[in-house]
Amino acid sequence: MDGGPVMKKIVILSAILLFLIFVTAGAVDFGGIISNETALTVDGSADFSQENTAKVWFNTGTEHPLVFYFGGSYTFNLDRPYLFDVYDLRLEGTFKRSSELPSVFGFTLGRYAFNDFTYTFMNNNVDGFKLNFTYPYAAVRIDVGFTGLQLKPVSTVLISKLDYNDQSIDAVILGSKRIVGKLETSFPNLFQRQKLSLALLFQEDLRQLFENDNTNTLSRVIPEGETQYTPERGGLVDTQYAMLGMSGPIVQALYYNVYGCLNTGRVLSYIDGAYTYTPVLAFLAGAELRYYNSAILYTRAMLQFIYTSGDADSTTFTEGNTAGKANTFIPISVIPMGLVFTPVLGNIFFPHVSYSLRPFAHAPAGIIRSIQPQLDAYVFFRSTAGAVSEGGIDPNSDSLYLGSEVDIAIRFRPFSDLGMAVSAGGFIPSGAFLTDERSFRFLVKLTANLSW
Amino acid sequence: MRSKRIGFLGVWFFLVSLIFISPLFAQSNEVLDSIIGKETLSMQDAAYLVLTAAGKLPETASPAEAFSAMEELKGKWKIRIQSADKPLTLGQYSYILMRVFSIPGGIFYHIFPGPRYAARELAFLGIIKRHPSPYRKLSGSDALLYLGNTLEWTAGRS
Repeated sequence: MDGGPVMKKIVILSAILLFLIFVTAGAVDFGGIISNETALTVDGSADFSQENTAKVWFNTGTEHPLVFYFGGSYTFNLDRPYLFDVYDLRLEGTFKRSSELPSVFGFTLGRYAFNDFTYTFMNNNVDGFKLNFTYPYAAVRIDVGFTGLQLKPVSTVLISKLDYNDQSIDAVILGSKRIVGKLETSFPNLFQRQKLSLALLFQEDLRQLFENDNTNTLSRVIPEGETQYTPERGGLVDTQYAMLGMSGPIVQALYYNVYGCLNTGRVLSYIDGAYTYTPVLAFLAGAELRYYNSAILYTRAMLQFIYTSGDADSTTFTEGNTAGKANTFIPISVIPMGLVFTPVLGNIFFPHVSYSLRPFAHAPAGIIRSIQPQLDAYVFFRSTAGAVSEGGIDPNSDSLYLGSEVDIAIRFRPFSDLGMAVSAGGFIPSGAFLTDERSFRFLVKLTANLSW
Repeated sequence: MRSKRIGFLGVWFFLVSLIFISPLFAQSNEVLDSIIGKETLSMQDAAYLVLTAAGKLPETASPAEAFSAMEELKGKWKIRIQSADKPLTLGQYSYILMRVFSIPGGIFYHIFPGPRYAARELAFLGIIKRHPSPYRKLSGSDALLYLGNTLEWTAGRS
């Protein structure tokens, strides 16, 4: 088991807890999923990868006010023969009140999914608690969680240089140690079914609390005031986010979503010969138009635009600020935007168009009705001539255009418990890349899953 | 959308016909009212709802007659019949719906036909939208809702 003594204790305690709940809860719903992903990537050279995952889950019956959920997985790939993970372990309560406010009160305690309401810069499991309050015209949600108990391979929280260094240090088993929190308010039906969402999020780097004499040098925080420049190391990164979003129908079958986020915080910067914490001032803005019409072969179309601020004097994507404030937007989770070219938000903007339909939706043979081809196109730009998350950019290039990508996918679900998809994508790099990095890149991927 | 309207109208026609067309349907109306008000559905009630909606029995049949008819048909549909008054689970009701309305299932339903994968299938088809645990008890109002959704789905399939 790739988890060490800490994870073993967690699994044993979890198993005891599960047994007690199984005995006391009565009806239990359970199931599992087996999935395979096989991919061939050509980016100068060819790279083949395959990953197989088996998941089991159970809950004590979602119809009850108090429900216990468990989900565990085992993953095998050619680079890592075994990885056991607990991806769901929570107690959830929902209590409806007929005459008092809030009309619904809910809580979640344990390991659960934590995300921003746009799902663009934070989407990762945390261990913590969540409180939900539902009123007639509004909903309020409070989340606080810790990201440092997740196994490193499954954690998407990668923010600082030290987080990236940990990826290559075998002694580091768990993911980035941060406390995250959120206060979110939404007004689901402000007028004409329009929804207004407001949120405050933060993440605080707790790395230094866990440093000791055995900590690898590449994982150690550079102290403020240090004069020796060590670009392979870094410091703490703490960030806060203030979000505002509006969404709803425009006309029948056409929906919009617009949102903005102000990002503040602090990062370690090497300025005037010494390391110092400088403030972060960055932002993200996004807009989407979505169309869905089941009468026209279940057509779905989307036009999306996302902009994230950048820092022209930034020499590296992470903690690369060299003057003034750090203006590159800092996401909490690594959420790739494309299929082949997968930049992380920050000094990036792009339009994205997507279209899918089910051409055989009314075919006599029911088994082919679920076939769904989808086409996606991206045009990637960087917001400034500073660094982006992907490598291979020519440091002498001022070009903001990075390249274009087209992806095609065909999804097929012949039975309720069997799904398959084949995806292919091609990315054409621009002149902003180094000469050796300008070759056409493509990827072909097959996925299949069977649930029981 | 048209197929959904047809299914919805079909359910309403079924209900309205029970209420208005003949005084004999006063009994059916009372039977429906009593089923809707129950917190747990029995095999007898399930047999009445499903067999009359599927046209296998006249609306004037009683729940006891429907239960007898289900017992006669259990061999054909491979449905395990419990006692008439024992509460049904969602999985068992789903299995009855799938058998009576000939709803095709997934791979595991064909390998292990039964309540568990029947409930999974109806949840996948959107007939059961909330709390799809096959082991939970089923209320009368839920049963009628799922029956209506099933009629709508079969109307859209044809």
